[in-house]
Amino acid sequence: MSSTEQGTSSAAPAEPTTAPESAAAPEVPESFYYVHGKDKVVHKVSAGALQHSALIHGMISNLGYTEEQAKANPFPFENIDGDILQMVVDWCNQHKGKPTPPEDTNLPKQKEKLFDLVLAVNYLEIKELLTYCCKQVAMMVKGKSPEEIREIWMIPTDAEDEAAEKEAKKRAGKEAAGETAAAAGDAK
Amino acid sequence: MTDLREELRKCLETYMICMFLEILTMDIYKLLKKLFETPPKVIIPIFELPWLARKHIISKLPIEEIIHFSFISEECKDLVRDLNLKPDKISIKIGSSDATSSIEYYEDKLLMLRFGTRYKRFQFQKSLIPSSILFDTDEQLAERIDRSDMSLRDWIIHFMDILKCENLEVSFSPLSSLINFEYTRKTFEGLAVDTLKIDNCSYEYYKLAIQEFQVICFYACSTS
Repeated sequence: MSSTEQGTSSAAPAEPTTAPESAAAPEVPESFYYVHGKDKVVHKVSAGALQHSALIHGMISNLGYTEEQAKANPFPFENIDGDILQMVVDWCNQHKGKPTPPEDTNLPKQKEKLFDLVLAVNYLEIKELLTYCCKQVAMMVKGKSPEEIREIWMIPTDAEDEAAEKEAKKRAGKEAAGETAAAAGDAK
Repeated sequence: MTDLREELRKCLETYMICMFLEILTMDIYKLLKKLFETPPKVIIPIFELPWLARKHIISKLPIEEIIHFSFISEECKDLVRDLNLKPDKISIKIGSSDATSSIEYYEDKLLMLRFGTRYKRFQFQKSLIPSSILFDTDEQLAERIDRSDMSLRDWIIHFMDILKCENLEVSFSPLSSLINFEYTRKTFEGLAVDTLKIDNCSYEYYKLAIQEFQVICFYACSTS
């Protein structure tokens, strides 16, 4: 596995303003975790940034993952493309310990990646980022005609849906018939 | 010798000019391509997204756009139903200020649809099909939806379906008598009206309304 560390390698420890109780106590060094996507490139992310993802946060708190363990075994997200994971990690780092503003200007601008980004964010359960992404997707059709919406969101017509359903039923029927024939052949 | 040199110089010159022109045309071509090229259309196959993400996207649209979306296909209608918008009630006013009918969607009064007001004359008496629908929030939306094939009854049923709301409130006003009662009767036939409000109607109209609507709640204000 290639271990090109990216992300918060230069990230500062948690700001004292976000955790006032830590001001009195001796400063605890921030822990870092490691994640990788489909491209196996490992991203180093601080625990504070990972708080945004309910999935990863749950994995850390439920599995009791230590920093050392995490370094040896980065969280694998094989279903997320490397560049998409990079975007998500960047966003988490930018919003680490900060309240998320109602209008986010740090969102990735490439709309072509929006579909994959929504999938990734939904999987990682990053609520705020999902809200922003969904808003962007929703705004793509605002003021558009039904035909335009159909085109942008690839919505099949009712007739197309029916035809696809019939086709699927036919295929399922054929497969079932094939299976019963094979079972009968085995019995003989 | 000088001739040959001269010839070579001329050839070189021509070659240079050709090269220059080629570079120039290439640049112009690139520039024009950049100027007139339309950016690639971004396509998001919404029904390939997980259910929660899909629901999230639709919920980010304003209510009028959600209604618009519900007309695109049965699958879209199902998705709107999944939003569980469930308003307290759907209020239908028969005969409002300019003798039209309206549907009001109650959830902070986000949406009001008026039927038959576009041409400032009443359109319902002859037919159950409204010739125009006006969304108070966005007039252009009515043009985009273009469902002149739907009657007021169809609209009410569509609203009850997609908003998962069974609470209908029907209000009559002094201007209701301008609307043929037969039309009103046909519009609400078989629909469970939850609340009936009668405000300042003639006694005959009041009687008709009471006979026709079997309701749970009934409010009457000074009938003449």
